[in-house]
Amino acid sequence: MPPMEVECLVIGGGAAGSAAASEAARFGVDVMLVEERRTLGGGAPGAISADTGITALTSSLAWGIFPDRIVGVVTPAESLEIVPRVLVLATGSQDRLLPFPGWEHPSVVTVDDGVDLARGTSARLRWVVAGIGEMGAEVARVLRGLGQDVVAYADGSPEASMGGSIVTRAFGRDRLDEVELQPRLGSSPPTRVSADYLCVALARSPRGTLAWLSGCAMEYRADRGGYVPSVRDGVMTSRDDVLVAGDEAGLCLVEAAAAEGRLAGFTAAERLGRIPGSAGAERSALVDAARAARRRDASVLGPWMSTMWQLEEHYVRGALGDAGTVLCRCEAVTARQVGVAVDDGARTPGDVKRMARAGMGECQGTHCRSLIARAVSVLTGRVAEAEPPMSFRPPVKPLALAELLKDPAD
Amino acid sequence: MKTLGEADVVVVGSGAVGTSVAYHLAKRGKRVTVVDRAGIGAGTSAATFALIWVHSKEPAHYMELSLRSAKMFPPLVRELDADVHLDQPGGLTLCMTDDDLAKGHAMVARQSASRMYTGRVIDAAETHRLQPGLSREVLGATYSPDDGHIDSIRYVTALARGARRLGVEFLSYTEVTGIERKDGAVAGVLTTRGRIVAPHVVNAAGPHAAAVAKMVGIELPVYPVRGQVLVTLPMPRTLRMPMSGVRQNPTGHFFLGFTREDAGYDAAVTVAGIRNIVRSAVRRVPILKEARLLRAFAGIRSMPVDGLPCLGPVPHVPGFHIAVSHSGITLSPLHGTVIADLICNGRTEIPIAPYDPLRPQRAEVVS
Repeated sequence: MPPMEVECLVIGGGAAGSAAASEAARFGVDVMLVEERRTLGGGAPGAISADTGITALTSSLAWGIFPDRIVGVVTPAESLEIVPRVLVLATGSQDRLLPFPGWEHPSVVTVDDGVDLARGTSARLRWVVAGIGEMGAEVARVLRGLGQDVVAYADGSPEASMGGSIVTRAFGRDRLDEVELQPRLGSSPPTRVSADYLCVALARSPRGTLAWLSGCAMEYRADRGGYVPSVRDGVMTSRDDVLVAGDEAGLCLVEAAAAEGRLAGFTAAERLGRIPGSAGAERSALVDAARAARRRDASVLGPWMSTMWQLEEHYVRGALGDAGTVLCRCEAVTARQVGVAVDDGARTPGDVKRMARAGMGECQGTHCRSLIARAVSVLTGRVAEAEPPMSFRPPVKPLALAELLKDPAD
Repeated sequence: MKTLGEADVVVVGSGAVGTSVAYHLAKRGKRVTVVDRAGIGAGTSAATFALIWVHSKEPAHYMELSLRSAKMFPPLVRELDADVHLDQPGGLTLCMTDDDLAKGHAMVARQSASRMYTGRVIDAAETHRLQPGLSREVLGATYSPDDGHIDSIRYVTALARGARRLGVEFLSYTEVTGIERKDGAVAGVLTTRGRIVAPHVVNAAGPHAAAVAKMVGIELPVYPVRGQVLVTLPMPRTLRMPMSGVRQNPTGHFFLGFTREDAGYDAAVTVAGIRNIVRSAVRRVPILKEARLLRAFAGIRSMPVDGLPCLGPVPHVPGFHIAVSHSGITLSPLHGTVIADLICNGRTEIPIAPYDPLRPQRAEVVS
């Protein structure tokens, strides 16, 4: 089947993507929206109503971006190649784990997986939540709201009472047995808590894979949560035909996501010649709104992110001092093996990926990309921020080969 | 320019060929420095299909060269004492059509000019007996017990480690910018980090070999070709031996790849390439429909115009040697041995006359 041409393809139907699609459609742009979940809106208000003229492909995965702006999309019915004139990336962020002895246990889970698990069970299970401040406490409340027994909340925030506490170890064989918690201040001994699951709400990263594959210039921005496309005016990348919004451009909250989504949709319409020259005031109002929203979100997220980086550094240094600790969960690559790769001549995260297999597994480096970069920096003395990240490869997540062959004509 | 040091030999390129050359030279007491524009094994060696392939290499002398090299793997890997997933159970090229079968018969007939040749055409029944998991569409195959595969990344890492233990120095992320000569002979190598004084240089730069050869005024007719490769998540072990286009690692991962494209140095993967690879692979091994694609990537491989290796000295530039081929993994043990022979003894027992880097090359259809 020949590639399908559309004016504007928006990838991601959360707050940013939905706003972008609605805004572009408002100016008569032919918009296609691809969302991996069954519904749009990402839980945020303002999901797209039915009569907007947007073609929404839900339960569909944009799995890669290829030369000539070809986007590979698999829908429940078929495998498509879509060529948009303007591409808006709004794939959001993903939460990730941090490495302590035992973190590779399958019952140590991210927030997304933890909430899915809690929704899917009728049992009342015992949870330890490790988080940072109010955002971690919210995860604990959500789990309780789903009927779960949160037996402990380890708050890693330095502002927490008594200086907070962090998870130092998870114990268990077939099932999780205990979680060891250590106060951050003072010399009190660690305590152990029995639990079925440990939910780790300590770190998030912008997704990045599609931005990288689209050929946008990327940069490391600690204040944005890691590797992100270089942006100007909030949503413009180094490529005229690629716009980004929301977490894709750097971690933010729903307010900035929606504001940047609107700006991206407007900019897409502009690129497609749908905005009259007299609309300069409208553009600057949207730019200002997006900038102000991101500034407000940053005031909330900034302290959270600096704690995240401190904890990451703490855990990675701890792992390097206890060589048996795993750094890449999928391929079970230990800190020792990362050290051997560096001794064998690895100099960059990409070298470690190749030589130690870190980041080659099922999660595509979601969890370990940042950890390996930090470990390499500690081991070689090179500045993590200056090194190119481990390569991002398609597909964005493992994809059944049969999905790629789906063709309604067959 | 600052002088970094002295070496007996500078090897340009730290892929399978360059690390093997360095290892074999160091074993014979040479002080070697390896220079690479990127990391160890980061180029073609990390993105190859990683077959150790003999039976369809033509003409027969090239098959013989490949066979000699394939037989060097077991002792070399034992010496390196590393788990590099070396597996030489034989290999198949499947015939899906009558035309494929006719071509297979013709190829085996030509190759049988060599007494060393062990390949043959096998019928559908024997193909299915040798290799479980194949489609009923398979009509037969060409087969040789001498073929195999390896984990190319583990292998290059092990060679580099072995070389380092013998004192080889690796300068990664360092680009060669020129080659110094005195009275025509090699005198040193200029890099982005400084000069290395050395009387010998080995060009093992793979797809970048032409640029390095140009530094001593040689037009080396080697160009880059792109090959896309897909890797699946691990599946239960099914395949007993590697095949052209489909192989399964001891770890259970399938490697799939059927493309050879002229795309310069652009290592992008394409949707069309991925879907073609999947279609071909599923047609041959139907259970692959259940497999999950883990990643897709492309490798830039070196391709001499006539398909044959460029291996040997360059007489009018004393001290300059070339070791470049399209089959860097298969030929790496032999390339290392030959170059070490040439530099240490001035001669080699292995017949390399057909691979004179300066031969006039004519374009051939190569397998």
